[in-house]
Amino acid sequence: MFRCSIHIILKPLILAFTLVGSSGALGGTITSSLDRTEASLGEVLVMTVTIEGSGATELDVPQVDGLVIQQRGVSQSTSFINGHTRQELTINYLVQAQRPGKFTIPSMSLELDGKKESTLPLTITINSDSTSSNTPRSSQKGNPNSNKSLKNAAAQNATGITIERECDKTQPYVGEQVICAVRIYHRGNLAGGQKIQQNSTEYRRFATEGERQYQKVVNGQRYAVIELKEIFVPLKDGKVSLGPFELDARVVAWNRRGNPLDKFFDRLGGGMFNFDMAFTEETQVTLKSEPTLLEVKPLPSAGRPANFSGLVGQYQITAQKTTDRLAAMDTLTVTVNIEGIGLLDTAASPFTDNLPGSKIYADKPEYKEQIDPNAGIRSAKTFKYAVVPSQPGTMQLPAVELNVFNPRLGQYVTLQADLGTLIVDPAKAEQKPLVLGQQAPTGANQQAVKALDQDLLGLHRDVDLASSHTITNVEKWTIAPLSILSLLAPFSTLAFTTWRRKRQGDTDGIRRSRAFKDFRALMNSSQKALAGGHPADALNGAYTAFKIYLGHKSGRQGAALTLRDMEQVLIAQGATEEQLGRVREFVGACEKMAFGGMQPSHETVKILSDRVSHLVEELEKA
Amino acid sequence: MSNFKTSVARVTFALVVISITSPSALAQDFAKKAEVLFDQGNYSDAEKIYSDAAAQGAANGHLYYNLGITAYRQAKIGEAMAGFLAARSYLPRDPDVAANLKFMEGRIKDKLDSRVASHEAGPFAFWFRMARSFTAKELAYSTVFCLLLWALLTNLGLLWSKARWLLPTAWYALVVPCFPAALFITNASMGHQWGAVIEKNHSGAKIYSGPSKRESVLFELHEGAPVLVRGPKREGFWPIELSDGKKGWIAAENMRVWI
Repeated sequence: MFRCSIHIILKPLILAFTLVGSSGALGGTITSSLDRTEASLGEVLVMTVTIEGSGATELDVPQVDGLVIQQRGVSQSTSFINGHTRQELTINYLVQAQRPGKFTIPSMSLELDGKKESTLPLTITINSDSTSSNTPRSSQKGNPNSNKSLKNAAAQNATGITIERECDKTQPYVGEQVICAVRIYHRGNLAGGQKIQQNSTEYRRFATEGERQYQKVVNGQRYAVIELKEIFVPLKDGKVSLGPFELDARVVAWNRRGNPLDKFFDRLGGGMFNFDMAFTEETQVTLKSEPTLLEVKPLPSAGRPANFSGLVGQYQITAQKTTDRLAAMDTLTVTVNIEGIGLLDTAASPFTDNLPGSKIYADKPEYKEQIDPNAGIRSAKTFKYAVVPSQPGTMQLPAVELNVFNPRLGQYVTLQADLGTLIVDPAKAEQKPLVLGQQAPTGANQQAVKALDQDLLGLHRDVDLASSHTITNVEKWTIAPLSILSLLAPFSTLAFTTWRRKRQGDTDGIRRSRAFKDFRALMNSSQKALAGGHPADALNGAYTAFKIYLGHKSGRQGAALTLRDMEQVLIAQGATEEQLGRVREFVGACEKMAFGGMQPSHETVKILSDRVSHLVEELEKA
Repeated sequence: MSNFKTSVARVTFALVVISITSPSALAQDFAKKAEVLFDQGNYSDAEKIYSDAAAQGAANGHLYYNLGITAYRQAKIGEAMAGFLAARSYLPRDPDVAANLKFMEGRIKDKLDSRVASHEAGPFAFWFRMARSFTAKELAYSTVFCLLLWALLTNLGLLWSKARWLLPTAWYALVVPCFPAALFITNASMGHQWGAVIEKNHSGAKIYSGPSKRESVLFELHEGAPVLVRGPKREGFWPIELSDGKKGWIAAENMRVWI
């Protein structure tokens, strides 16, 4: 059995609502209205009940078989009229039919200001057709070439939300921007949505910021409208289909599932126990508009300049330079600015890169883009160049030229900006360009290198990390003894030499001190020989004694001494000439005896021996 | 028999050569490995190689220098400063070490440098600077060389009569080895154990009046501050002196000293 029921929510809100009463001079009223009287099956209608007055406590919305009425919202306002306060309550209901047919919502009554007030009955016609005459339709108007709008067919769906797109032109040129307005019509059941992005190789799409919301009456029905703008730039000629505007929407709907409480109270007979609770839920629905077909015109070949830049739009160009006069090798900055309605991101450099007698260095261009929902895309591109002339003289800078296509005029336009002349003075002395054979410029214009950062110096690479830089144990045991030895060695050597010298000196001293004793001993032997009747032996003995004496005195071998040696020794001993004479005589006699064979007499030997003894004694005394 | 002796001599020579050259080859291996890791940006592994070598008692200035750089690359300011200070002890005249130390001194929070104030002023500042410009090893070798030369000249003059004219010069030449010897003694007395402060948990390192945390806190030092160690560690504390003359005791955990 088909069960009809009226789901009413937020009854407590009505029960809780109390109107502050007036003095009773003004009576209360209650009115109800529908936003439309005809709809298709599945569409949602809005019923508005307005209550003015005081004393209302509860509004009973009647049940209608085949209709589902759901309260949507309540608003209240207060006004003061002639010293009286009056309250107005507005309640919105969503009405949806469950089957096609004609339905009547009976009048609703309320006690206001002490009187019973009622609304008039409302009649609704629900068609089974999915298309409704009440949905907003679009129609083509006017000449598309003269900026008239084109309305697309609206998208229909069970939610009653429609989307339409209206573009400002249908036959744009390639590269010309087309501004389209997208309007979303809904009856208050659109909770939110997300645009679905689309890409295409046939056009570029630019979304604008912000949206406009307003109410619009279409074919006698009031809709809430959300309007946003899109800008398209077709990239090819011919038929270009702009993909439908897609919205991933959250739509409010109520479910028809049975509430267990509902069933319980129904068993009790319903009526006052019929606290039917209706549930709303949001559903995710993809809504689309119809695609928009454009007939994109190619750029005309007639009149197309050879150096056409490819830009389509309405642009202006300006160019300026920082100075009219400068010295050679100084830098001049040229700024070229292009701006207007249209895209300039692909605009190439309009200034020449080959200027005789100068070097040109181009900076990275700056590009700005601004999307205006009404005017379209406005962009500006700025090019900067550093020009360094090398030759003095007067130079006519080439004009900056840009060939664009103006879609509004439908023809190619040459934009020009004049840079005038430039006077180049001879370079400063230090700045003359380096020519082969000339001296290089001095550092007058050089600048110190600025440090940008500081850091540690790098690793020590390819060095021996293993060798020890400190004194090792081996070295310790080598250096110390070596040092001590080195220090002691000279002193040891000195001690040794001193000792040796001393020893050597003592021997000679001993010999010297023994010279006279040995002489006397030998002379005694000689005397004995003489006394024994051997005068030759005595003389020989005396001669030997004398020579040995002198040998001891001089530290030499006495027997090897010659007369000259003896004279030298005696002179060293301090002998006088007279003493030397006696020595010569003595030595002469001894030589004659030894080599001449002369036999000396006893008396001669005695005299000579006495003489040499006296001589030695005198030498000893000296 | 003679063949046997020759063979033994050859084997012994080979063993000596191997024993001398092998450590060097291994050492170059670890140095190359550390350089490759450093170039790859793997500073922590490179630092580990250097610090392992240092912990084994390597006394090489270049090692500590590289250790300092790898520590700096890991933002370990204290470790880096300690590395460069150790490197300076072994490479006192190396311009890279001096430059990096100066760089680090500019990076630390405390206004300190790595010189003792008393050695930088006064009539003997030049002498101290000279003593500091050489390592103990260099001064020791210089002293020994001068002594040997002096001993040679003196002995020559004493033993060889024709070289007797050398004697007066040789005796005066005794002054020559005294010069590096005096520098050596000064160098040894100056103290070369410099360390750097390591902060724990980014809080400054406290310097106490004695070797205990119960002592008064004299002042606080921050990461990388260079300090001169004035004596042996006692009860986990090092006695230190700063370049501005302040002295105190610092916990061993707050200091890194390599030599």
